[in-house]
Amino acid sequence: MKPDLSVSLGPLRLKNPVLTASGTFGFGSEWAGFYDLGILGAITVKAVTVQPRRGNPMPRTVETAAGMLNAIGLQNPGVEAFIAEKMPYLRRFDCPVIVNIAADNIEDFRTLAERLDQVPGVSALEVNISCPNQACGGIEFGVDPTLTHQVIGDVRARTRLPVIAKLSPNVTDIALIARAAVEAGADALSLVNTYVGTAIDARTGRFRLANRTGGLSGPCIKPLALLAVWRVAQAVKAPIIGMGGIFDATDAIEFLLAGASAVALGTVNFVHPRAAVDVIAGIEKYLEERELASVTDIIGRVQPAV
Amino acid sequence: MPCQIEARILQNASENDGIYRLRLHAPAIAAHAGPGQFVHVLYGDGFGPLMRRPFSIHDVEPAAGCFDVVYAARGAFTTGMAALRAGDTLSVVGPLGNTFTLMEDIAGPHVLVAGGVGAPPLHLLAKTALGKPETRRLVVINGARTSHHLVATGDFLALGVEVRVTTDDGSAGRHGTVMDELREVVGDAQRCAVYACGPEPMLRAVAEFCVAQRIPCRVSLETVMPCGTGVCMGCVVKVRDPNEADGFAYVRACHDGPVFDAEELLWD
Ligand SMILES: Cc1cc2nc3c(=O)[nH]c(=O)nc-3n(C[C@H](O)[C@H](O)[C@H](O)COP(=O)(O)OP(=O)(O)OC[C@H]3O[C@@H](n4cnc5c(N)ncnc54)[C@H](O)[C@@H]3O)c2cc1C
Ligand SMILES: Cc1cc2nc3c(=O)[nH]c(=O)nc-3n(C[C@H](O)[C@H](O)[C@H](O)COP(=O)(O)O)c2cc1C
Ligand code: FES
Repeated sequence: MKPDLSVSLGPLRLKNPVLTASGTFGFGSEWAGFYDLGILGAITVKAVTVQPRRGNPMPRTVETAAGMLNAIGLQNPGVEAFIAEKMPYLRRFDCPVIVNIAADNIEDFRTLAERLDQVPGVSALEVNISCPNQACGGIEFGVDPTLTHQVIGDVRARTRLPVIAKLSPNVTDIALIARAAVEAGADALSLVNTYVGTAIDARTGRFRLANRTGGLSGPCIKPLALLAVWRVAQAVKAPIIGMGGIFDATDAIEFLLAGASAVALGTVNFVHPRAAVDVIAGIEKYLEERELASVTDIIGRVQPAV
Repeated sequence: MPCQIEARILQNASENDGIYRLRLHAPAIAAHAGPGQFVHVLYGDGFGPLMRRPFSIHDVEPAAGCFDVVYAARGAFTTGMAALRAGDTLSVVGPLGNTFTLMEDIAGPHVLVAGGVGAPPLHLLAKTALGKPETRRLVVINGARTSHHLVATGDFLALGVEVRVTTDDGSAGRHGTVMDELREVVGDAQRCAVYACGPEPMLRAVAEFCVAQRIPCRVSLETVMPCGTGVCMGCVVKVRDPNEADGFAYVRACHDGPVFDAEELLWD
């Protein structure tokens, strides 16, 4: 018998635990040549803001050892264009759509929650309280438990959709922020967003990013992200979407063992566009080999080294 | 629609100083690729280098299911790729990006300005343009720093088109830049169209000259391209947009380009 890959993220049922990470999959429409989006557990789209955002000047990205830095600056067409131009395509697939929302003030978070609440095809909101790229934005909510509580509470009060808090790893104690988000009514937690870093070109003596700082992602952050997921899983009962440097099924399984109920694929989409197909198949094979009936049999089951 | 293929290397040989020709067997890509389009190539063991790199399609042979890339061995990625042999495989994603299309109602010559490793997309354009009724005259201006850095000169000559070579040091062809040759070709032409690919300073000079002279001009731009597929917004270029603050917007070089109209581009 095939193992059961389905998982729950609070009220959200997913046919498998493999999602795309926000900002690494656009709005889905570029992927038709690689696979049917219907195979995914869920699609998480690029951050949407109230007004269109033009984004940062170039250079916006730089490759680093086993990773990359990005400072895109939340370039997106704004929530109205998203609903009118992007949602019709996404509705065609048998796959939940999670909308990542970003703002640099609480009022905009409220507006986004209200506006997206009634939109057909939107399955959940992922509140990006952790985007490290906006000068006066995201990071301030996500590093402070009181602000986190306020933003998540305000969004919670304005939507019937499941609310997912996307946490920043750039904090002293991520479990503290996780608890604040759950207390404010978050149905699930996404972690981690990117780690703030920079790169300098010794030859020219210049920063490599126009924005100076950027968010680090890819395989180099995996050990850090895995620990963050394990820590938060110890601290709260809410389901976790784990991410950070997942490149193959083995990486994904490690996050599930650490306590994530689902995983999201980010940077790997740039390198291996068909990664999601391989990761889903790899998780299934792992369960079959161990004669496990359900993927839930491995969630949070990491054991001591000896 | 782009696809991802483990492509077998049919050939990977040195052509000129540090310039290599890579022939890949990838029927699904060869069947659809047009001039100006590129493939996103993954080379490396483990995570070094981690990201794919874009390379323009130089030539296609759909019947044989293969296509060519011509590249310069520069950094870790390309020098590593140069060590691969026939029979090895490379992961390629493509074809990606838009195409160079031949401009219509051009009484004079179509002028292709190819600087250094900017030659590949123009080679495919020249090949596809030949024999079309709208191609009355085709001129290729093929420039580089020195004769050792010239790319695809032999391929252009083999097509039987008019080729004008320039080198910065005079070691081959005219002693000067592609701009000297371009001014001359345009000077005696009725109404021409210009297509360019090469290093950014060259592209800018060509584009600004054409805009000033009201010559229709399209250029293929190179930027850093993390995904190549249009999802990351990491590859943007500035284009005029009167509806935006400061009159410009950022669009994706990998998806909305890499070929842009010179009129719409803003140079920093
Ligand atoms: C659409 C597109 C098509 C391209 N087509 C071709 C092609 O047909 N043939 C070809 O040889 N190259 C092409 N390039 C450029 C190619 O992708 C780069 O040469 C390659 O990324 C260099 O990788 P590397 O790791 O070897 O060098 P790196 O280690 O990344 O860099 C080595 C040196 O090359 C310079 N460099 C790196 N990338 C670029 C770039 N994009 N433009 C100019 N200098 C750069 C660096 O500044 C450095 O000095 C194309 C780029 C784009 C965007
Ligand atoms: C280019 C790029 C853009 C991103 N944009 C967003 C975004 O808009 N909203 C968000 O919550 N996270 C964004 N992220 C973070 C990813 O969703 C993910 O949390 C992070 O990259 C870690 O996963 P990875 O190592 O698998 O990429 C972005 C990441 C990258 C690389
Ligand atoms: S390279 Fe990612 S959008 Fe162009």
